[in-house]
Parts: sequence; structure tokens; C-alpha cells
Amino acid sequence: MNLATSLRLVKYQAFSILYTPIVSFVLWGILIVVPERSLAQRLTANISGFVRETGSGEILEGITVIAVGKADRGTVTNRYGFFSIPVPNTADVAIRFSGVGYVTKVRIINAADKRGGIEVVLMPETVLLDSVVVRGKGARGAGLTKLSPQAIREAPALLGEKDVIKSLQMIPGVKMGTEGFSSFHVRGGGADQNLILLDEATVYNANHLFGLFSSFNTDAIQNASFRKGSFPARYGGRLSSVVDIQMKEGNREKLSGEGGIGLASGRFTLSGPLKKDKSSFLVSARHAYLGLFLKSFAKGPETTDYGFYDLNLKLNWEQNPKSKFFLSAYTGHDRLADKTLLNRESSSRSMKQALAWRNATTTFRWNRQLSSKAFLSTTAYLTRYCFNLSDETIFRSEYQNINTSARNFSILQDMAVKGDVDLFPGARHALKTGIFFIAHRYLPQAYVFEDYNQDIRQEQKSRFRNREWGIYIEDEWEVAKSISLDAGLRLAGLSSSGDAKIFPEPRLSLKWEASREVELSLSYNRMHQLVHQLSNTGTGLVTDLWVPASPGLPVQQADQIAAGLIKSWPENGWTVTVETYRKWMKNVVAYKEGASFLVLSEGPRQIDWQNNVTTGNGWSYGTELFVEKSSGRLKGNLGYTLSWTIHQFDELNDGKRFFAGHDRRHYLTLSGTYRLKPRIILSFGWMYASGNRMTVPHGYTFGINGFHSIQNRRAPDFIDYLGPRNSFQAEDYHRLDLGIQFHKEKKRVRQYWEIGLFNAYMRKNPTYYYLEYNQPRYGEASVSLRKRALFPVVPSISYNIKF
Amino acid sequence: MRAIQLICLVGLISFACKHGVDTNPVDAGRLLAVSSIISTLDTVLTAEVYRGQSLGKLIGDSLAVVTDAEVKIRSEGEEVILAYDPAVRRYKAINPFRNAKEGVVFYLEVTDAAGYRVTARSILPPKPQEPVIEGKMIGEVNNPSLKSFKFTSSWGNPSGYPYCSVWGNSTAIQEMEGQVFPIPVTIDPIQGIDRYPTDRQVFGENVTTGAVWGASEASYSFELSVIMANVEESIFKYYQTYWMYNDWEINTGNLFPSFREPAPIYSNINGGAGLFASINCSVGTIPVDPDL
Repeated sequence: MNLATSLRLVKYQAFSILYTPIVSFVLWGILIVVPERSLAQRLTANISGFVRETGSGEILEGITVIAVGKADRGTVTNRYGFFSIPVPNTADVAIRFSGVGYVTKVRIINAADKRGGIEVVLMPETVLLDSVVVRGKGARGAGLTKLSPQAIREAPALLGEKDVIKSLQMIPGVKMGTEGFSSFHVRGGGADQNLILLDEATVYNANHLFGLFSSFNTDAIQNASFRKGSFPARYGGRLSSVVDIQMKEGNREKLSGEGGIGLASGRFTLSGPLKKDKSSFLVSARHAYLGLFLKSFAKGPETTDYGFYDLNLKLNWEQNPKSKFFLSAYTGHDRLADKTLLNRESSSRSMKQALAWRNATTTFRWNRQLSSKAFLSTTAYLTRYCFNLSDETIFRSEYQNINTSARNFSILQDMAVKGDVDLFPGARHALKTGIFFIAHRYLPQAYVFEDYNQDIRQEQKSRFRNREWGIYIEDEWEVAKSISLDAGLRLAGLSSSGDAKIFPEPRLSLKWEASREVELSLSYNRMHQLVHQLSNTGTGLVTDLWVPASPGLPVQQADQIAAGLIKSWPENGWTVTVETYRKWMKNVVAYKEGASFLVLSEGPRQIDWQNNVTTGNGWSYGTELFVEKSSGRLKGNLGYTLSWTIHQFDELNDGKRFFAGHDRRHYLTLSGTYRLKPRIILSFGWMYASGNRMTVPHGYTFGINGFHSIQNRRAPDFIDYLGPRNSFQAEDYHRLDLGIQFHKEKKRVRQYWEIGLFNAYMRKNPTYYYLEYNQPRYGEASVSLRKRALFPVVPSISYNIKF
Repeated sequence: MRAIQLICLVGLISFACKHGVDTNPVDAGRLLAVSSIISTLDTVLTAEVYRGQSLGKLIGDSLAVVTDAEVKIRSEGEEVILAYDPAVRRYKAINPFRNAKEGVVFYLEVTDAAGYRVTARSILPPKPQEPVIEGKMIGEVNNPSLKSFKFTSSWGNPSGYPYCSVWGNSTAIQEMEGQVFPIPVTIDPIQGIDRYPTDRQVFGENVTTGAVWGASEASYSFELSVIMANVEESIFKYYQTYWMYNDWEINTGNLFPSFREPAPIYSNINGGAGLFASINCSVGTIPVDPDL
């Protein structure tokens, strides 16, 4: 079946699935079966199978599979370790399996192998040889970065807590939001425009400790990929980036474990076979004990407690070599509680305030190798995010008895099913197609007040339901020996309040391998975002609201074009990547001037969000440079981004354009590791960023006091002069992190100590600004703008073990 | 290397695009802030002129007031120069525009001693219809012998102009132990708003209610006036943003950042800050006998 036939079929399928789901289901089934029958007539055979890691049996994604001598007949293992490659049907063929971090293996394929599937195991190179960023054929490309957990573990981090999300902030095109927090902005996009997937389930709030740490336990992560451009059609739902994280499958061969203990938290992971080579499990847990420190500093009647934990669980069962079942689950929970007890002779007062949030995802997956040319993956997942802000007051005295509680909470829940098929119809085509359906349930804000003595209960809730569905098809087509085209179309549908709309998203990525060392790329992507996050802090706080697209808040849209070049010097491990991009965004969401959703001074209370937001347009353009050295004792990378991000909202800044708050003109990162001795690794990370933009007073003046009526105008009152929106630029940000790891390896146990320094030279980077008033005498005052730096220098030490 | 140069060139070309953003605020130390509202009821034109003050410096109205500026307001060929009155820290002149017609354009020009100049423009809103007042003395629920004059005030709005403000005045006074106290008038907001000015004036008939509280205590018969003012949109925006600004809690404390979006106060002064606007008024009156 050629591409044109496929597209016609999918076009018909797309419309039928939108209007006649049953018919479309049948057609979708046909699509899976047809390629096998038609291609069976050819004179080539398809070798298919799985690639796993020696020792653990973990599947390996992104391994390059090439028929030796037929360099154009190459492929890459998919996320389930599956590959399919066409080879001549006449003789034995040598297939080479290679991936950075693994010993290359060549296997001779004979006639028997061609009939059935094969399983290949690759041996990892020693841990100390791992590179910072893993790239390989297929994995290499403009707009795509693959992160290895090992590289993340080697990089220095705040309090020693390794963080996959924060490690993204070292990639060109990715900019941090507020200092120390996990929120990030990709190519001018908002913090909500990043799709974070954990085993295919969307994670809506990937933060612990208000964003200081991410929700993901590095020990449980098998691999993570990050895309900022060249989005394949299988990804959608956000405008700016996709972070796709896969949990480990669990060791299929033997019981193994790893863990660590640091200043902030402890973690432990255990995995092993339930039935050798048939089924396995993985359990990973992490717990923070910051509350112990907070309690020890507590003085007076007030006590504060904080803690978080997360738990990962995964079960795998291989029914037969072609059929596998997976069940993975994740839950993470944070709780900050503040309790005040005041006991006096005549009265007692107890006040409790708590802020808690929880993420939970559950994914069930069935993978089936339909043939040597077709691989099916079906997934059902549930994801739920909720936060709860509560306030309880009990006051007892001779004259008064008060017992009240107020609760402000938000819940977001997705239930989804999806089916994906990888088809390998010929030597030059790799098709991917799939359908998906997501039921979103929103409770953006709910407020409950109860007065137990008066028997009063007030409740305000607003619920919304959206249905998201769609279909996609993409073809990785090797047009010529050195030119490949990844073309795709995604049709995303949204049903809301009886109204249904379809949003077509064409995707196009063209690559030209000018030589073995030089690759040029060009891409165009259209993306839509059907949910919005309302945030006025930019810190990724849990109080940020996820709300549905609605007539008042239409679907966000982005068009991005990008051009890139990769030049590598394989003999010494150097790679230089240059990319330039331009992005147009529509219906970007922002708060109106003066709006707020959290009023600390008045306690938790309901604040209407629907009338406090506005939409506008955004533009972003820039150029990114990435220089990488991936071999030798010294490995590392340097990233630089020069970019502009501009917003225009009719209701903000008098309708004039302004720079977005996260517009940082220059962004420079330098990170690396140096193997001082075979068992000692030094690591460093340095970052420089132009200050972000904000609206703060530039000075003061005097104007009409708006609390007096027009007819009773009084002498002008003291008011701030703010200037245009975001016309204040914060101080430049720069920071150096250092780390050293001492590894020790015994027969079955590997362990290491790590000592780290976050912000080694104590740069006082601004987390936020505030005004400080000073009144030397009546009628006169001085006001100064002060910055608050949250992190001076933060040392850390941790002990880690793996067996 | 040629390819790298090519990509860099593409990048540079994209950077050549104009971003169209003006981030340059007026230097606070040079900023002129002007406040002036022309009313068809006022006999005097007024304008306050203040200098902006930079952060970190000592600030205060006596330090910031500009006393040596040239303040001019002109309209339809007539130009008025306002003179500084140190007693009220304000520029003043006789108002020659009391009978100005709807749509008349006023121009403000303020130049300080250093030659720094700001300008503004105002267009007189349509003249509102004269309010019709109806009311009666009603005893208070808790004290029936104490009566208030409760009234309704209605006016037509054939042009559908939305921005208005309404207030009341009375000549009612109460004499007690040789002292004279004015008796206040209150006007309720219309269309569910909290306060005036509003943008909720509807096309056609508008009605509001009000009261002269404790009118039965007035020493003499008095006259109640309800002033209906169509105000410029700029006035409405100024007041709205001022209220939002006041709620803006940038200084919640230095422990937490502000959780509220910044709220700049609206300004229509070119090159400076403040408000220059006009209001067009009509007055309805009704005599009130406190003994009825």
C-alpha cells in the first residue's frame, strides 16, 4: 500500500470516525490488516523483534537498527523496544544494533529468523561512560532531545534532588520561569503549554514543594524525551513542547534495587521478576521529611509541617512474545499544614490551615505485534489532579463559641483510551496511526463554608465536561537516500456543551543528510491546546487553575516553523546544533489587570475566574545554538538562545504589544562532567539568563483620588507609576552548581556519595520583588523596590546505592 | 560551515522583524502628572500638576508639586491660561466653557520650566436630560418620628450614552446649639454597580433612588438637587483602574510575592500621567418641606 492509498484511507477513516464511530472502528481494523497482505507479495522479508537491556531485561527505545551494507535500510526501536526492518529474502543478513550507552552488537539473521521475531539484548557500557544527552539515528534531530536518567543523576541539583524537569532548563529554547521552580517556557510558550506524559498519561502538575522539585523520581524513569519542534502527529494537546517520560518496566531477570538518602528526601526502588522472563514488577517510593526541619525551628504556638511523597508501581506480563500487558500507576502527594493553638484562662483558639495537592495516574496498556510489519498498542489511562486549601477555626470562651471551616478546592480528571499502530509497509515508509478519546472532567473551583454551631453550609461549585477525540496518521518516508520526510495530520476534536469542533493539525518535517556529519532540517507544525492554565505567579504553584476551553476562552493555537542544522565530528564526539524558529500563537490566556485568584490576606475564598481572564496573541522567534561533547573524560554541552517573545491583548496595556513576562533575551547554559578518576566524577552547571520582565512601579506621582466622587475631588493622592506592561526587567540571573560523586563498586552493589553546591558563588538572584516603605516624617515617605532571593548557597550531601 | 552560516543568516533575518514593543517608560524623575476635569457646572477651571518621583527618593506632595508650569486649556479658538494658586496647590482660571456644546474638543498643554511638555485631549460628552425627582417624607422603621425624604430620580438617555455619574445636593441644614450642620444626600447606584461613575447607563429611561436622611430635622424648607453628569469614558476608566490599583497587593509583605496582577491606573496624558477629561451636567431640583 503506497502513501497515497494510506492517506485516502485515513481521510475516509477520519471523517467516518467523526460521524460514524462503529464504521470507523471496522475501517481502522482494515487498515491494520491490509498492509500485511499486500506487502507479503514482495521479494523482501521483514525482520522484526524487540531490543532489551542485558541484566534487567528493560526494553530499549531509540536503538538504531541497520542492515549492514544497506545503510539506507535503517530504523529505530519504538518506545516499546520494537523494530521492523525490511531485508532481502534471499540470503543471511547482518543487522547492527547500536545506541549510545550500549555496546554495539551485530547479529546474523538467517531464514528462520526472518519468519519469526527475534529478541536482541544489548549490554550497557559502564555507567561512567554515559553521555549527558543521548542521540542516535532517529533520536537525533532538530527539536528533539533524549534525556538519559544517568545523565540527570550526574548533574548537580538543588538539595541533591535530581530532577528531569529542571534538567530541561539547560536545553536551548527552554527557559526557566521563576528561580528555583520547575515551571519552564519553551520557545516563548507559556508554562501551561508543555505536555508532560508519564507512561502516556497526562500529568497536570509536575511539582513537589511548590515547584522546587518535580514529581518524577529519577530512579523509576527508563527514559525521557523532550520535543520543542518537529512534533510528530501522534503528539498533541499543547502548543509548545512534549515531555514524554516512560517508567522502567521492572527487572525481568533478577531482583534489583536502588535508593538514596539526602538532606531533603529518601527514596527506594525495588524491581524484579514475578515469573522469570514473563512478568516483572517495579515499586519506587520517595518521601520528603522537610517537616522535621520546620518543626525543629518552630517557636511559640504556631507549628508548620510539610511533606511529600510519591509512589510508582509497574507490572508487566508477557502473554507470549507478541502480546504484552502493562499496568503502571503513579501517585504524588504534598501537604503543607500550619497549626496555631492559643490557650488562655478564659478562652482557647485553634486554627488550622492546610494546602494539599495530589497527582495520580494509572495506565493500562496492551501491546500486540500483529505481524512482522505491524505493531499495535492500546492504552487506557486515568489521570487526576486535585488541590485543597482549607481553613478551620475553633474558638471557645464563656461568651462565644465558634467552629467554622472553609475549603477551596479544584479537581481535574481525565479518562482516556487510545490505540496506536506502527506499520512498516516498505523499506522507505514507517507509518504510525492512531485514534484517541479523552473525557475531561473539571471542577476548577469549589468553595465550601461550614459553620458547625449555626448549622450553616454554603457551597459554590462549577463543573465542566469536555470530550476530546481525534485521529492521526504520520509517515516517516525516506524520500531518497539522504532525504527523509515526516509528514502527518492530526485531527483533534472537541465536544463541549453540545458544540463540536474539529481542529486539523498538519505536521511536516524534512531532513536532509548532506553528509554523514551534516544534517539539515525544516519543519512546520500546527498545534492546538484545548485546556488552559490560569496562573498569575508564573511559579507553577498548585493554586494555578486548569480550566476548559469555552466560548469565552477559545482553543489556543500555534503555528511554528523551524530550520535546523546538526554538524557532528564523530571522531572526537563533538556536535553542533543550530536552530532558528518563529512561532505564532492565538488565544493565549492571561489574567486581566488587577485580577487575582488567591487572596492570602482574606483566607481561602471563591473568586470568579471566568470574568477575570482575557485572550490575545503571541509571537516568538529566536535562534538556538547547542554545542555538545559526548565522549572523553570531559563531557558536556553549551547552549545559547537569543529570542524574543511578544504578546498583544486587546484588554491589556491599552492594546499595545508588550514583551511576555518570560521573555529573556539571552539564555546561556554550560554544563558537564569530568571524570577525574575512574570512580570520581566532577560535575558543574552554569546558567546565565537575562532578567525576566514584570510590571513594578518605576516611580511615584500624584493623581485624583479615586475614592472621592468626581464632584468632591480632593488634592491628588500618591500613586504608583507603572509604565507600560512588563517594562521592568529584573536583574540578570546567573548561577553555578557544582557536584562531586564518589563511586564504589563491589561485586553486586554499586554505591556513591554525592556532595553538591547549588548556587556556589551565592549569587542573590531575584525570586520576586516587593516594595519597602519608609516614612521618616509625616507627609513624606521613601519607597524602594527590593528583591527577594530565596536561595543563597545550598549545600547537599546524599548517599546512593544500587544492587 | 556554510550551512551553519546559512542558518545563522536565517535567524538574523527573522530578528530583523520589528517587534513593535515600546518598553521605555517615561523617566519617573521627569514625569509630569496632570489632573484636570472640566465640568459645565464649575465656575473655575482647575488643574493639578505634579512631578514624578523616582523610587528610593523621598517623596511627598509638597516636594512633588510643580508650581512654575505653564498650563493652557483651549477650545474653539479660545485659550485659557491657568495660574498657580499656592493656597490650594492648584492652577486655576475662570471657566469660559460652561456653555460648551456636546462634542466640543478641549486641548490641554502643560509645559514645565525645563521645557518638558505634556498634552491631552477631551471631548465633551452629550448633555444629559434633566432628572425628574419625585419623593416623600417617610418615617424610619426604628424611629417613626424621624423622617427622611426618600426619592426617585429618573432621566431619559435617548443617545444611549453609557458613562455617567449621579449625585445629590441639598440646601438642608440642621441647627443645633448654635451650630449649623448640612444634611447629607445619598444616591443609590444604578444597575447593580457598587459606585459611580458607571458604564451602566441604559438607553431610554434610567431610574435611581436616594434619600435625604433625617430631613425632618432640617430647620427650614430646602431644595434638593440631583445632578446628572455624563462623563467621558476616560473618567470611567480612570476610576475603575484606580479601584483595581488600590486592591493590588504588591506589598502583601516581603514573605510572599503578590498574587494579584498589576493594575496600572489609566492615563490619557500624552507623555505623562494623569487624567484630562470633561463632564456635561444637568440638574433637577425639587423643594422639600421637612414638616410634611
